[in-house]
This record gives sequence, structure tokens and C-alpha cells, in this order.
Amino acid sequence: MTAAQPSSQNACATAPSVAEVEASCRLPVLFLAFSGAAWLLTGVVLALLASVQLYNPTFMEGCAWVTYGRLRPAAINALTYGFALQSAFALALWLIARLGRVELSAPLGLTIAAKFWNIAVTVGVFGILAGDATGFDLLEFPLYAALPLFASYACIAAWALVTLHRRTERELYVSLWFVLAALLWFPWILSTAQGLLLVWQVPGVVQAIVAGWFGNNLLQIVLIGFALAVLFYFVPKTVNRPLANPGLARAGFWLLLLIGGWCELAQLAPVPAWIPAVSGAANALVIVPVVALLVSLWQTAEGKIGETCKENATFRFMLGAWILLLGVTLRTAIFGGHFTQFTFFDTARTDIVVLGVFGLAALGALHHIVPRLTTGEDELPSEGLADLSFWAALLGVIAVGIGFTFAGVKQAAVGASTNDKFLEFAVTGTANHLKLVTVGYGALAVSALAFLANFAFAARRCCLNCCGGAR
Amino acid sequence: MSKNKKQPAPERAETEPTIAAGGGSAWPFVLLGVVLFGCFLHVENTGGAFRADVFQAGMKNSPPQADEPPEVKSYKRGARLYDACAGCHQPNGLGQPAQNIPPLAGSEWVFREKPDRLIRIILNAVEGPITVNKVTYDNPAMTPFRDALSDDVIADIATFIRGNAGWGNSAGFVTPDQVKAIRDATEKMGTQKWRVETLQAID
Amino acid sequence: MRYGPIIGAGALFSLACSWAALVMAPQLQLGDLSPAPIPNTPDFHPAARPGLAAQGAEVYRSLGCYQCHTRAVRQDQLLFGARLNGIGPKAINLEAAGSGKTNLVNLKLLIALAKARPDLGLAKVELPPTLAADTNAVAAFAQFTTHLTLLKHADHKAGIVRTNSATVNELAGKLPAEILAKVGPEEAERVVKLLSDSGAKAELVIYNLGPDIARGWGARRSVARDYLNDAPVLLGSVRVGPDLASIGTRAPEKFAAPWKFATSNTATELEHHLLVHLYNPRLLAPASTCPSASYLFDKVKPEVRYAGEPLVVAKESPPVFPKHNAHALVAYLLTQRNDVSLPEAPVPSVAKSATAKPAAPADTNAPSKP
Repeated sequence: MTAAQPSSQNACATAPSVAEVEASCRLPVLFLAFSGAAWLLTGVVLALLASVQLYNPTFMEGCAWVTYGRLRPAAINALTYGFALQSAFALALWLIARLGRVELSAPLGLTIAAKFWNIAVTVGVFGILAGDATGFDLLEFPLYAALPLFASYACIAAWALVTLHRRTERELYVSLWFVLAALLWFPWILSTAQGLLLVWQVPGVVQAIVAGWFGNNLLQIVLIGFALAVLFYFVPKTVNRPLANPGLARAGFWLLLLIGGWCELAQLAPVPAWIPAVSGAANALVIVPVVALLVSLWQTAEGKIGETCKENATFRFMLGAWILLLGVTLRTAIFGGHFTQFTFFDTARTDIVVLGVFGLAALGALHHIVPRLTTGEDELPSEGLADLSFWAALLGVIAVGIGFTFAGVKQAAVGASTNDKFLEFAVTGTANHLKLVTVGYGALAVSALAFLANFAFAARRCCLNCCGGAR
Repeated sequence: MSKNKKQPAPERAETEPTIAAGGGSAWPFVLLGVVLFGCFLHVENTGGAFRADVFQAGMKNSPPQADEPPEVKSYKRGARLYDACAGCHQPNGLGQPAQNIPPLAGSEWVFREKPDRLIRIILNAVEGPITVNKVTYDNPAMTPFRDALSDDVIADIATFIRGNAGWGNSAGFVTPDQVKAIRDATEKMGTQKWRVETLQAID
Repeated sequence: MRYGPIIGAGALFSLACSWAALVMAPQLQLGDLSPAPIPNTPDFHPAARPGLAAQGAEVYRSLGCYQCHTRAVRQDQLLFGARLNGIGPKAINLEAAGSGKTNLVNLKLLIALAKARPDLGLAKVELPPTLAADTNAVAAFAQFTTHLTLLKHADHKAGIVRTNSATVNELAGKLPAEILAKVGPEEAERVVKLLSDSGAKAELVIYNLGPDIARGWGARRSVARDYLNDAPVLLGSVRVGPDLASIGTRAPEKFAAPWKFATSNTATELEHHLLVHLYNPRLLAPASTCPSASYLFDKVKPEVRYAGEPLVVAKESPPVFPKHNAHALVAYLLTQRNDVSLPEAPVPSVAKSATAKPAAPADTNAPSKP
């Protein structure tokens, strides 16, 4: 770790070629990537419909299935489990296969498990719309969807770990630390949360604490971990430099794991005072590892940022994710306390992490992976669509983030004073901010569509190549 | 690495990112230390001493109750003050029969209807053989607390001893006035200890 | 780092730390909470939900009401005070017997008050010559003089300079008197004990302060014990609409769109109000953004045995018939209260007796249909 070593020197003689590695990835990764993007589109559209209801309550009124209280959790869970985690699996498998220089174990089995994952997410989203939501944030899927979800995750993670174990490149690159940690983290938090909330229900307010703990770990460690894995892979790769200051990355990695799991419970009110106090402290502490990791990435790209931005679509996405990760961490640490409790400010964190930090990183990575796995080239079928996808996603996330954040600050100001009329200021007064959120979700839907179109063109070219024999 | 420089962009996709030499910075840990110090202060000030019954940031004990009767408050104070007695009579009130220290739990000397005898014993102590629960103890070690403890403190301790349901005692509470009355009445005794016969003769 | 297991073990260790602190420790601390008795009643808080309200909790979860409404009252500060209710039996009458006047003074209380309020002066109290023969009065007065000297000595030592414009004698003149207001628990308890020991009747006063409480959303902060009977616990995380922790006992003028009881049958009126809100919130508050739950109502009288009373939603429109789920949801909302004093979150005793409860949960919980 202390010496600069091109990885190829460590590779075993029996290491498969890049083409063989990518061939093994093709089916499961493309399937996961495609369904992830499709869920992104679905989830964003659901979120858009829900956000309209926040200022226009007569929109889609009179049907229990599409009332705000069901649409919003359906959207968030579709985005988290359908888009974010599914794309995370695609990226994890691809990173393990590429960085470990190993062919994926059981690609067919992985694809089948991924199909079951999709079925479970579909069942879960319909379950929420039908009124079976469990009532815990980010864990709203009813038990009959949550258990198959866990089972298919177990298969995917097991094969991913088997692949990792059989790697021919023994040195674990930084990205794989995050992938490994997140793959082990997720089953523990999911089984704890499902077990303690849905099966052997703990009494009273402990449920809210467990649900909050799960939600934070899912965002802070699992999704941000996968996003960092992607960043640490693509930033050095696209600027074509070795990763600067790996010691910083190592310190950041361990500190993030140690601290990240403690954040965000400051949003709970009816709990003993030490829980918000400790959690609020962790919100501030987690700045240190995040900044360390981001500085390490910054030093790697320093001086070549503008140049790489122009020529490489993937790097643009990475830069966006980099900025949003810094932003969301600072924003939670500085304003995330008592003042913004019970406002849209906290809602925005979920959106920024899922769609922004992770979403941008994942979309950027998929823009690189999809053409390689379909056509075997680095060039995207349409650079224009990639640009559209990037700008729409970035502006969409920023619009959602700013809209919710400012609406949250306005609500907080009303909540902190007794004079302001609640209905006038906190409810109808935030309508304009929430309209911005709707626009943001619309832009994100455009981004998802642009990516899917690129995906379709790449797949079409792939088919033409194979069937036409033009290659 | 030199190979990479010569190759055009597409070749990059074939290579994996590498790690530069060196690295390792101390500043994250210095920053961590600084932030951690602030965090300790924050948790100390708003963490409610990690108690399950403190919900209000800034408090360290469970809030006092408005409708708590004075005898309950006296009992709670007594529970803290009893530490001074627990050395001999034990926290469980069972005394130490091996050392001739009589129990307070279930003792007929303690839970008499009138607290006078208990107050007298605390004020001036007792010496000579004393029978508690049909067992005779003889230990001259108890000291008179007339000068050491105030009326309030003696009343609180007596209330705690008499009303301690955990020991099986359920006698009524004692007020500082009762203590004061007996203290004034026995002013002449000084620090002379009671004999069991004298005590029984009075009441 | 070459070894995957080391990273894996490190990750699991980190996770175990946060799990132990934020999952296991809260469960150990709060897992064995039990309902607390409500002072001066045989009831417990939180009360077990009767059937209809329990079904309403399911409707509340199913419709996702918790996405916009929290059920947690916040509080910025919990402060205390001391109130003097009576000067006590140890007061002596400084007017001579037969003079026709009474001037009851508790001399010990005056000293205690002077100790409690170092900012106030102590007006001179003199023994009228007509009482010089009363041995009790003379003894008490001699003691008072001694204490006064000691107090002055202590004042001097502590550098306290008392004003003479306001005195504790005036403070004690009109009862009940707030001796201390909005101070910490130790200070308030010390003063209450000081006053009680002087023979006066004093009590601890509780101040629950914060915008939520000032807004009338609850009498105190919500604490863990309030949610013992909830499964799942739906705290909510965003206040798109008002907090619902005490909607069952909320005064009508404290609603987001204030209204008034028209009759004395407040329980029925509140129930009706909530039903209309469910049917169309904009009938009650035109600016409301709450989605209508009109699917919980039938437009025509349904063909079931117990269709219930029709609900008159507006004068010009025909009445509608609430379905079972609508009644259940309202019954659930009516069980929401947080006006009960708990050991960890007391409420002011005055508020408890003075405020009339618009709907006692015990009355409205019971299934309204046979």
C-alpha cells in the first residue's frame, strides 16, 4: 500500500483478460443497470406526482391509492430499493470483477436473484400503494415484500463475496474496501430493522429509534459507501493519474465506518436527551472522514479538473457527486439540529443522498459501463444524450435539494416562533419552494429518460453488431 | 505508467486505477480531536447524563414532581442520607448479626406506631443488650448523632428507615418537629447513651 | 490492504459499536417502560386503545397520515418556580385580641422569603405594645429578631444589598404568590423546602416552555412512555400539517383553522369536526393542503345494517355517510392526548384542573355503535 505498484504486476498469470471479465459481467450488470434506471424513472415520476399534491391538494384527489401519504413512501422506496440499491449491486459486481481481475461467479444466478429483487420491489411498491406500508421511513415495504428482498440480496451478496474471494489481483483497491463494507453492512442493518420492527416488534419509541438508525446507516454507510467506491474508481481512472494520498483515504474509510453509523437520530424528539445529543455530535464528527476522503480525491484530480470535465462525461458526474457529498454533510452538521426538526429540511437529505450523491455517481459510472458491456467501446452512442442526462440530473437534484431545504427553513422559522400563523406561513407559504421540487423531479425524469435512450441505442448497436456481423 | 501516456483515451478503460506512493496525513486526526472535544462538551451539556428519564436537553436529573407530598420528598432525601448508616446496618437494612449489629428491616424497634423510640436511639444511641426479633444483640459501637445530624436529617433518615417497603417496613413518616421536641426534652442527657430498660420505661 | 477478512471484520466491529449504542442501549433503557398512573385517578397513561381506535391506528398508518403530521410535541425548556399558597398555622396575630383587626404574620416565613428573594427588602415588623403580655408572641418575636440579625450578617458577607422599595412582606400579602418563576429545579426545590419548613404552604410550579406548547399543541413534551401502546410507532418526521399528539384534547381555538364549540356537547362536536376534515379539509380551512379522504365516505346511504348517522358536511350539499374506517380514524385521533403528568415530563397542576377537556378520551373511545 505504501509503494506505487501498477496492479498488473501483482496479477496472477492465470488472470482473465479484461474482455473475459466483462463478458462474465454482461448479463447481470446490464440487467441490474437497466432495471435500476427504469426504477429511477418510475420513482421520480411517483415523487413528482406526490410533490404536486403538496401545494395542489385537489390533484388526483379522491383515490386512496394515489394519496400523498402513499405516493411519497412508494416513490422513496422505489428510488432507494429499485434504483439506488439495484444500481449499487451492478456497480459492486462490476468493480469486484474489474478490480479483482476475476470472472463473475454465477452470472446467471445473479441475474435470477436480481429478477427476484425486482419482483420484490414491485410487490413492495404496490403494497405501499394498497395501504400495507409499515410506517417506518425507508423501510415501508410490507413484510411479504421485505423477506423476498432480503433473500435475493443474500444471493447477490454471497456470489459477490465469492467472486471477491476468487480474485486474482490480491491487493484490494480503495473502492473494494467500500464495496466490501457496504455489502456486509446492509444485511446486518436490514435484518436488525426487519427483525425488531416487523417480526419481534420492540415496544414503544424504540421502534422509531431502530428505524432511524436503519435509515441513517442505509444512506450514510451503504449508499454513500457505494458512491465513494465509484468515485475512488473513476476519478483516478478518468484523470489518468494514480490515487494521491492513499493514507488519507484509509483514515477516511475507517473513520467513516466508525462515525457514520451514529448520525441523524437528532431528528427524534420523544427520546432520552442523550440520543439526539450523541447523534448530533456524530453529525458534526462525520465531516472529518468525508472531508479526508474528498480531499484525497481532489488531490488526485487537481489541475486536470477542467480539462477532464470537457472531454469525459463520467468525470462530470463524479464532480457533481463530489460537490453534493460535501454539501449534504456540511448542511446536516450545521443546520441539522433542533431548529430544522420536523421540516422538509430532513426530507431533502434522503433525496440528495439517494438521487444526488449516489444517483450522480451511479449514473456517471453506468454511462461508462453500459457502452463497454454492450458494444465493447468506450464511446457512448450519443454524447448529446449523456450531456442532457448529466445536466438534467444535476439541475434536478439541486432543484429538489434547494426547494426542500428552503421550504424546510421556512417551516423551521414558523415552528420556532409562536406568532406566525401556522397554516398561512408554514403550509401555503412553502408552495413556491415545493413547485421547484416538482421541477427538479421533472428534470430527473428527463435525465433518466436520456440515459435509458442511450442504453437503448447502445443495446441496439450491440445487436446490430452481433446479428449483422459487422464487427 | 509510461505505456498509458502514449496510449489514446480508449486504452484507459483497460487499465485500473493505481495508488500513488507515500501519503498519510495527520490533519484528519488533529481535526477529529478538535471536533471530538466540542462533541464531548455538547453531549455533557445536552445529553441528560445518559439517563433514560431525562428527555429535556440541559437537565441532568429527572424533573422534580409538583404534586409530590413532603413525606415522599423526605423519604427520597433519607434514601441518600442512609449511606451514613449503611456501613454498619448494611444497605439492605439487615445489620450484621455476626458483628452484633441489629437489623433495621423488620425490627419492632423501628416500625412502632410512634417514632419516638427510633428518634431517641438516633439522637443518643443505645448500649447494653437489646432484643430485636427475639435475637439479642449487644454492641456498644453506635455513636450518638445528637450533635452530628440536624433535625431535618434525622427526620429524613427515620422516615426512610420506617417506610422502606423494600425492607418490609411500612411505618409512618417522621417530621423535623417531632425530632426537635425529643431533642429539646432530652437536652440534659448530652451524649450519654440509652439503656434498653430506660427506653422501654419511657415509651 | 490485501486481506478482505480484515476489512470485513473492521466493518462489522464499527457496525457493532453503533448497533450497541443506538439499538441495544435504547432497548435496555426503554424496553421495560410501563404505563404510569394518572395522578388522582384510577387510570393509567397511555391507556390501552379500545377496538375502534385500534382499527383507526391501522387506517392512520395505511393512508400515510404520518407522512405529513408528526405526533411529537417538542419543548425548549423545562423550568420551575415556587408558589406560596398559604402562610400556615404558625402565623401569629400581631393585632391584640379584641381589637377587631387581624394581622396574621408568619415571622419564620418572612425570614424564609428574605432568604429566597435576596433582591427584595424586608419591612420592619414590630410587636405592638398590646401584645407584650402574650408570651408566645414575645418568644416568637425574640426568635425573629435573632434570625434577622443572622440574615443581615449573611447578607453582608455575601454582598447582598436589598432594596426597600419592594419587600417580601408585600409579596406574601396577596396569595397565592409566585415567589420564584422560571428557575432551575434545584433552586425551586430549595425555596419550596425553605417555605414549607417555615410552616407555610408552598408548592413547586412547572413551566413547560416552547413554541409547540405556546401554540396549544400539547401541555408538555412528548416522551417515550406516550407511545407504549403504539404498534407501529408513527412519530412522523415532517410537519406539513399541525402536530397531532394532543388532537383529542385540543381546544378548538388552537386548531390551525380556529373554530368554536357551538353547544356543550363538545365530544360530539369535535368528532364531527374531524369527520368533516377527513371528508374535505377545505370546508374547514380553505387554505389547507391536506388531501381529502372522501373515499372513506359514502354518498348514498349504504345497504349495511349499521350505516350510522349521516354527516352534514355543508348546508347546501347533501349529507354523506362515513364508512367504518372514517369513524375508526376519528376514534383513534380522539385518543391522542399528552396532558397527563408523568414522572419524566410533569405538567403544571393548575392547567390540569383549570382547563376543561373538550373530549375526555374515556367517553369517546368506546365504540359508538352497538
